[in-house]
Amino acid sequence: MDAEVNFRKPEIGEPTRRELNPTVFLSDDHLRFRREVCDFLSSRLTADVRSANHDPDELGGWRVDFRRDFKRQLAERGYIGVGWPVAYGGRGLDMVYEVILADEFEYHDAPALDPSVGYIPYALLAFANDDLKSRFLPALRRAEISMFLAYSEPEAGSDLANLSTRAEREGDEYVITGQKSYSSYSHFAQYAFLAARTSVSDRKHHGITLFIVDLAHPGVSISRHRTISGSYHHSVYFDHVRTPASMIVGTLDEGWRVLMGAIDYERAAIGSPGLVDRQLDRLVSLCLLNPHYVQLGNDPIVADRLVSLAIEADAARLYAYMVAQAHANGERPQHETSVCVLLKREAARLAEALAVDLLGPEAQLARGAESATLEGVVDREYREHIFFRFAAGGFDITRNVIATRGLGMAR
Amino acid sequence: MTVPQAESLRNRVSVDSLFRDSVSSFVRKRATSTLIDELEEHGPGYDTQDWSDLARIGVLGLLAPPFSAESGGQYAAMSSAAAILGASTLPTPLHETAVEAVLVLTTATRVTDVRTNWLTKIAAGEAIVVPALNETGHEIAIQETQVSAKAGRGGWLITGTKRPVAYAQAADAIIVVAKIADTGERGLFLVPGRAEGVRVDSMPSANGHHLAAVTFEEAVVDGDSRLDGQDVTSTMTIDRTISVAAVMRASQLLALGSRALSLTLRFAEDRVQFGRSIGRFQVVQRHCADMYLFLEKIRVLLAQAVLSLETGEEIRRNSSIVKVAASEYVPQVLERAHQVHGGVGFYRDYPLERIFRRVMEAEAAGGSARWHRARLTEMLRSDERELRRGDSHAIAT
Repeated sequence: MDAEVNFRKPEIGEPTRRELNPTVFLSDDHLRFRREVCDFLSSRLTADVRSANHDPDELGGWRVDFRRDFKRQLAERGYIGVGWPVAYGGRGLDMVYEVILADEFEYHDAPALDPSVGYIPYALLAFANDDLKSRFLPALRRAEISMFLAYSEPEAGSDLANLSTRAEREGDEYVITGQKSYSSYSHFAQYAFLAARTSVSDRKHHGITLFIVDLAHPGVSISRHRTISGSYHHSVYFDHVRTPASMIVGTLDEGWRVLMGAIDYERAAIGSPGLVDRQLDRLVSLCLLNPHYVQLGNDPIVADRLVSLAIEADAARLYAYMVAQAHANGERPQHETSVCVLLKREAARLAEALAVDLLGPEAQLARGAESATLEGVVDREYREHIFFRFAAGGFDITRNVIATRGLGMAR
Repeated sequence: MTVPQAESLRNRVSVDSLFRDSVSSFVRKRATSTLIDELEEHGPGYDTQDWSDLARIGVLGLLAPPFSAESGGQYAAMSSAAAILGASTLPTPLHETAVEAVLVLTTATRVTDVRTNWLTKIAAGEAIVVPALNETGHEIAIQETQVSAKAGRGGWLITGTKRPVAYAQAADAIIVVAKIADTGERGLFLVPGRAEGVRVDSMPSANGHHLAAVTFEEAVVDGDSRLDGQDVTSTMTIDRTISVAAVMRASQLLALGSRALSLTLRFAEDRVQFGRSIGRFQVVQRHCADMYLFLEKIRVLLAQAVLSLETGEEIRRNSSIVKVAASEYVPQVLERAHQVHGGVGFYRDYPLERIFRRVMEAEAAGGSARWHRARLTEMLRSDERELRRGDSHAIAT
């Protein structure tokens, strides 16, 4: 099936693009693992548990204390670090297992696996020294601590290298000053995985360093902003926060590599397809099984739009597993992880817009409204997921990444 | 996707590189602009020597038992061949004969020597057999057919018109759906191309002169040439045929789209306007990224569909899904390719226009997006579980 590539090569003098093998196989062990995770989530996240632990102030809608307890349960079951090396307390399984886990979590609308159990550990494994690894990985795996990703700043979004948070050396310490914005999960984290400028250089990407910063140090403060979905999101301020030089991840001034490496892991992790499958299943059930909505199921226009969604869902799911499989085979997918996130998120936005259209005036009913169809989930996802357009790359920036890193077009 | 015995299946879908190389080197030798122009200008629209070469390489018999490999992998191999030949834009009746006619002949329920004989000849490159399924206003007409069959002269007499039919001028036999007069059922018949009462009128088209209207005026067919005799069996045969045809057409479309992207990337780099390569403009980069995204979606959906053909599971679902995607996305890829190329893509001395015209043909062949969307919506409405992937999760309600 890669024959077209072979034909293309001799004719065209373009930089050759390697392509990932698109045929996705899940082994019996993978399927067993999926079933096990699915059963666990189904039994724990009952309707009662969901309503008892709903918090409209939280992105994702889960109470912070429930999220923390739930993460501990995951740790006890060995669901944190499934892909890490056994030496660091992981299970040493391939990346497909990680994607299955994330996939099932999304499908079940479980409390999201935050970056401290997702891509931050992978960045540590790839770039941190042994001291940092043995200090932080076990605690992360046991869900005793969590970290948030302190990259974005008011003046450094898509142009991340423009960040202005400074870290200045004083003896054995660095003194960090600056503001981090759009800081998801920061309000219950103990540490920041922070990018700061350590030197000024002609080369824009040089002079950035990655630190782990203990948020208990003096000088850290946090503010919150109400968002479009009604939940809160946070900014974190660092005012002369002293951090030991031993907390540098990777090499001084060479943090851009860590950052880019981590972003590839991040995109692989959040590209898991469960969200879209859940949205499709939910709409199919609504239109064909819910007695109040059967007229939708009989409408050929509705059926056709569900078909469109099923196609996008298939592509997103297959792509995610293709990328995971490539990881498992020891390849290092790069721009493909961006494609993965984009396909999933564009499909999700399609599903969310379709859900709003199908529910009509009911779509805007929030959780808690009397008999709100689907408990207000359509409203929540439609509003909250507008961040898909811009967070962790976003639809436009991702296309830039594809054009330059994937297709080799000049900047 | 959820398939056990991953390792044996992995081997099954990895196409033999010697086979691929043979098809590629055939294409490099034969698919020259001069030859393609010539084939488009004059009937029958393909080169008979090419056809023999394809038989020799083993392409034509891939799907025809007993020539098809017992170990499987024939669908993956045919998909690969359809991609290489497709990208080359060299016209051949590959899809009509080596895919569609072969599928009808192998799937039809009535076992006769006629079937075996034709399959043997097709595999050897000695016969062109084409399906004639379209009628005016009806793509893949089964229930709607206006063509009739009545018993007579020791066999059947076929009357009516099929159009457009690809490569009918060259056909040694034509497969038609016709309504049987005394039972009212739709049957499948194999009509010799030069039978008494068969008239073939060439129709000029976007891709040359290989299309025709085929009119049957009490064309005589012997009794053994009825392949299916009932609505249910005829429909199943055509349904299965279209499933496989759709996947092979999707392979062709993906290859054409990929080539359009490659041409566009090269052009964007070479073409200088406003003092720089137009490929440095972000809007051009965005067009290219979008083209790539469309193609990547088709690529994974195609792999899923080929795997379905190999395992026999979810064939209808996955073949229709990839054909809808290919038929809808590849034309959008071409729109963007032309946007970037500007006037250069409008002229016949540059390969993009031919790719565009082949896409126009392939998007409708093997079932248009509309046809496959209709099949998918019917699947969805008759069984709400069929389209979704709830089987691998607890179903969300």
